[in-house]
Amino acid sequence: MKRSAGLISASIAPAVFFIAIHQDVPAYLDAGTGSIILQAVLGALVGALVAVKLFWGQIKSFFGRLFSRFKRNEETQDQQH
Amino acid sequence: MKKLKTSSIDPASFRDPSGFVFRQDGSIYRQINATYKEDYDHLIDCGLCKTLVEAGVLIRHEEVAFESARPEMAYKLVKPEPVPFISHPYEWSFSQLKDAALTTLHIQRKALDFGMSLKDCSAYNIQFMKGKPVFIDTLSFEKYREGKPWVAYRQFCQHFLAPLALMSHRDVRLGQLSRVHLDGIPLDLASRLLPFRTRFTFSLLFHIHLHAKSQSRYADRRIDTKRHKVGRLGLIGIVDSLQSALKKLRWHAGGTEWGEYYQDTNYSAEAFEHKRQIVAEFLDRVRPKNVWDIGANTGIFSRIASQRGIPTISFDIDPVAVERNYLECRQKGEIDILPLLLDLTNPSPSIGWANQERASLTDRGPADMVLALALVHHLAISNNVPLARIVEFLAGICHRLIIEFVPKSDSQVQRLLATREDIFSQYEQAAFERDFGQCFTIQHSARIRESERTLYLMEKRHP
Repeated sequence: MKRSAGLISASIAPAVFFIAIHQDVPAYLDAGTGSIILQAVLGALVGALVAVKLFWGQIKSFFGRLFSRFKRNEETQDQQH
Repeated sequence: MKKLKTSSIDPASFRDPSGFVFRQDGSIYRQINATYKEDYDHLIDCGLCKTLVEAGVLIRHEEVAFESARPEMAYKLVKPEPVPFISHPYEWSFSQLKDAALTTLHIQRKALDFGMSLKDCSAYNIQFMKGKPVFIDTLSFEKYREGKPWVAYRQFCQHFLAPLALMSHRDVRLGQLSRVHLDGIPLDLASRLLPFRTRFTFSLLFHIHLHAKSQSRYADRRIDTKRHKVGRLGLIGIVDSLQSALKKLRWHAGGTEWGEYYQDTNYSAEAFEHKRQIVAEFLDRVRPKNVWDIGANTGIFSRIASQRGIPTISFDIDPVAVERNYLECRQKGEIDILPLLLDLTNPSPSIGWANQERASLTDRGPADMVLALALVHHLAISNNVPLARIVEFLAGICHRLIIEFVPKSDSQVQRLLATREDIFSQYEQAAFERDFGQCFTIQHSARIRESERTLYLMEKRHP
């Protein structure tokens, strides 16, 4: 009896804890399963584009540095020859 | 502490448990319920509310220290800035709906920057104030939680993107579908009605066609939606993609029967100018608090009122005329005129839950003054409405009236009678004055020079 009570409390406790910390006001709109799945797919696609746009400067300078290092290496090798 | 009664809760304010709108002593108040406390406090504390209000896209409100009549639910009471005239999305022209949509997306984009998101994207949350679209529901914001999809995405597509895509790619009159589908045009219907070529546009392919397919595919399936996360960048991408989709949607307001009306009248330049002078003189005598110009075309005569600082609603049946009117307002930054689409022979009815959610035209009146210029012959002859019925209707929507009588001998009336039998023996000036005299006192009348038309200034009789 004691053991089962322990088991019950052990399984309820995390649930109570989760409810206590999770203070989402329930959404009154139904987002719709189909709409959520579409958002997940579309979000991944366009989110990647946003990331590229946001980090475009850094991406450009990274490749810029890479190519200039490559060019420098080539020039050094030419001089050695 | 003054106690407010909540007996007059707005009949459209019941879906969102975050609060409700009610009327007290002629003012509008909004109760914020305790369940919305965390989100409301965040909206104020994070600075989003202030930013949006200062940008003129969110309604200004002040917190009021009244005791709620339902204190067990209340967190705060706020008094929003009054909206002079509530209009419905199916009364907007193409560009009005597009501007409302772009404003909503702008707000969602800003909200994401401040760690919030719109939980409601109903087009009814937008109202036109001082010529611009303004978001009026302060309770539509929620804290953004990483990975959570945008709960109002479907609603945005149904309320804005679907009608605009249909108006742009198929026929502008399809905007009227919003009057039947109060929660926006179902995406499967929009997908079926849109031309096949729209499947080759990335944004319409995803937001409408595949969205509709996804809805029907997962309609009856039990799926753990918590597994499907959408990151913040994904949400920003979706908003950006919707913005670019909307910006690409265009509708050219070409010529229609009414759009070219002023190039196609029998007025001489002097008659037209004289008519303007008489209308201005009548308005100056009365100085009405507000004006509804019914049958306004592109709003030439509405502007005589609005340029005097009188809030004026400029109604017309023709989407081209309303579109041109709105574009002119936008271009000139006019703040006292609101062009709206309205078929007077079938004005916006009371619709929605219990026929009370969206007010009819008459429920939003009466106007202090109605302008009915070059209109009566269209109602009486083109639409077979007896004069007595016209009087009854006008007496229900205004206190005062400036109305033009156009006799049968006028070439415009002759044109209406050209293809039909003249069964309108009662349509003559003496009968007009007699019938209007039943409900109105004729205060002034003036014959328009170089025409056979007469303008009247009337005041409704008190019963």
